[in-house]
Amino acid sequence: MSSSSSDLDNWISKLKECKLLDETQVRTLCLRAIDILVEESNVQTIYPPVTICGDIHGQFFDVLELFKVGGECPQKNYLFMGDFVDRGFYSVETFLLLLALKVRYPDRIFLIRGNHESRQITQVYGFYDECLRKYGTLNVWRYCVEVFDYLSLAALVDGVVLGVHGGLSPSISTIDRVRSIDRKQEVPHEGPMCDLLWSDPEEMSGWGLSPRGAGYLFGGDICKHFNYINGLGFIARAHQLVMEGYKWMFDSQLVTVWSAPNYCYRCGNIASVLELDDQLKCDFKVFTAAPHELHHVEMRKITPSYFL
Amino acid sequence: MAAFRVPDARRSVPGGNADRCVQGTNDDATVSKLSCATLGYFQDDFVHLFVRRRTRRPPMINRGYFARVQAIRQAIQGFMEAAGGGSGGAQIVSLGSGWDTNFFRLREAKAEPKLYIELDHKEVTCSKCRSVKKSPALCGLLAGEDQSGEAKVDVESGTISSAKYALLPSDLRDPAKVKASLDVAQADYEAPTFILLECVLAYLDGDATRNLLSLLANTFERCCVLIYDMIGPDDPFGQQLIYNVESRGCPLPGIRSFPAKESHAKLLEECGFTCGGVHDMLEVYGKYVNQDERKRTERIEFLDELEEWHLIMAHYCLSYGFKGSPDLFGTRAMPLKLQT
Repeated sequence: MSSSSSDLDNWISKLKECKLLDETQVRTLCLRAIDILVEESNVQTIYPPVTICGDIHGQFFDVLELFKVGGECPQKNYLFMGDFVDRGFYSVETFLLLLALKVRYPDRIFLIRGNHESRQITQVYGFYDECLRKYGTLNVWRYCVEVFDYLSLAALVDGVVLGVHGGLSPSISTIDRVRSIDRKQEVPHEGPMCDLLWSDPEEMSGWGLSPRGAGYLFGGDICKHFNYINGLGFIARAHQLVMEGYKWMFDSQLVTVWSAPNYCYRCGNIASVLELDDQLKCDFKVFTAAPHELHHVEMRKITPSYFL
Repeated sequence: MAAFRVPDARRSVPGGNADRCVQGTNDDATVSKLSCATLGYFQDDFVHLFVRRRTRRPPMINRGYFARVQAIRQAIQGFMEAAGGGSGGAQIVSLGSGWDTNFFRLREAKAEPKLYIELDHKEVTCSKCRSVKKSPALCGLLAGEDQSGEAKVDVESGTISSAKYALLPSDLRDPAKVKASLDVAQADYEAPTFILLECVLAYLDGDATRNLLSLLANTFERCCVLIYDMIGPDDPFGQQLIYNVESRGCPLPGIRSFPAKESHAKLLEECGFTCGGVHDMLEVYGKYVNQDERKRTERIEFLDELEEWHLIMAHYCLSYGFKGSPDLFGTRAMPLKLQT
C-alpha cells in the first residue's frame, strides 16, 4: 500500500509513455487518490492562475498534446472538468495518468466528475471493455469506478468562475446547495447531482427537457440569474462537442470548453483549454489532434465506425 | 455496402487492395445490421446467417443503421403498395446489394415482388451463395409456393436463379455488363421497378455513376430509384470521414463527385429521372422514420452524444427519383410518409 513520491514519479513516466501499470500498482494509486479526494469539497476551491480543460475521453496522445500546448503539470495548474474515459482507445492510460498527477501534485491539478465517470455509462461506451481487454480481469475497472465516486462535482476559481461538467439544475439555486449533496455514490438517474453532470445550456428561456434523457436544458435567463445570485463572473463547462474548441453563450455568462481534438478520431474538430491568469483574464489555447504516426499501432487496427 | 471494383486505386494504402476493401464495407454493414437486430432495433431473422462473428456496435452506429434500414423498408413498402404488389408485377432491383436480406424478409412475409434481382461483385455473390446453400431456411424461401421451380444456387459462378429471386455477379462500372446481367435475370423492363442503391455510389467515380443511372433510366420504362449515400466531404467531419475510410484502403470518389443534396438532385435529373426528393438522414430520422418505431428504439440504448449524432447523420442522404408516371409510385415525393 505504501508508495513513495519516487514510485509515483516512475509511474508517471511510465504512463506518459502510454504503458500500463500493473494491477497492484493501480490498486495502490487508486487507494491513495481516494485518500486525497475524500478530503475535497463537492465544490473544490481553486486559486488562479489555472488552466481549465473539457472532455478528454481516453484520447491519450491528445492529452500529451494538451500538456504541450498548455504547459506541463506541475509548472501549470490544471482543472479537468470530467469525461476522462470512454470512447477513445486509451481510457485506462489517460485516467491513470491524470490520477497519478493528482496524487503527486494534489494542489496543482483538480479533477471533477463528468457523466462518463460512472459504472453504468462506462459499460456501454468503452472503458469497461478496455479494462477487460488490457488486463483480462475487471479489477482495474472496479478500482477506477470506486475513485469516480469520490471526485468533486464542481470547482470554484477565485469565487467567481464555476467549473462544472454539464450545467445547472432546477433543484440547485445556490452553490451552497451543491455543497450539501452527498456525492459519494454512483451518478443517480435524476436529481441535482445528475443534473450538474448532464445538463446543457440552450438558446431559450427557462428550463427544457434534455434530449439526452438525463439532466435539463437551461436558458440564458436561468444562467444569468444563477450567476447573479452566486456572484459569479461566468460558468465554465464541458460536456458538448464544439467544433472550434470553445464557445461562449449568454453574453459571456457561460463558456463550453472542449479538449478532445478530432473527437472519437472521427469528428474533425479543434480542441481548446482555457487559461485563466492571476487576474482571471481568459486565454484560449487551441490545438488539433496529435499526429497520427505517434499513435500506437492499435489505432491503426481499429478505424472508427461509419455507415458503410 | 457495395462491393465493386473502383478504377482509381491510387489512393489505396500500400499493399492494400481497393477492391477487397470496398467489399469489406459489405461485411462491416452486415455486422452492424446484425448488431441492430440482436439488440432489437429491427427484426431480421436472416442477417445472422451471413455473419461469422457477432460484434456489438456503439449506440450511435446502431441508431444510424436503424434509420437507414427502417427508411428503406418503408420506401419498399410504399412502392409495393402503390405498384400493386407482386401480383401487380412489381419488381425490385438491388445494385451492390451485398448480403442484404430484404428479399428473404419480404418472401417470408409473403410480400415479395414478382421478381427480386441483386447484383454485386463476384466475390460477394459467391459468398452469399455459400451462406444461402448452407441454410435450409434461406433455401426454403427461394423455392416456389408449391415447392416447384427448384432454385439453382451455383457457388462457383456466384449465381442464384429461382422463380422470384435472382443473384448475379456483375460490374456496376460497366453498363453493358449490368444490362447483360439484368437480361440473364429476366428482368421485365416494362414492369414497375424499384431500384435500390444502398451506400454504393460513394465507391464509384462520378462518370461510372452517371452511366449506371442513365442505363437504368433508359432500360426500365417505369422505375424509381432510391439512393442512400454519403455527402459533405468538405467540412472537418467529412474530411476526417474520407481520411479514415480511405486510409483503410477504400477510396471514396463518389462523395467528391456528388458532395451535397443538390448534387444528388442534379445527378438524378441529368440521368433521366425526375427528382422526388433528397433528405439528409437527420431529416429522414426526424420526419420520415416511423415515429412509433423511433420511440421504441430510442429506449433500447442511451445515446448520450447528440452533437456527434447530428454530425454523422448530416453526412448521409437519401435521394429518390422516378421515371414514368408518378402515380405508379403513389407520390411525386419520396415514397416515405411524412410522420406527424
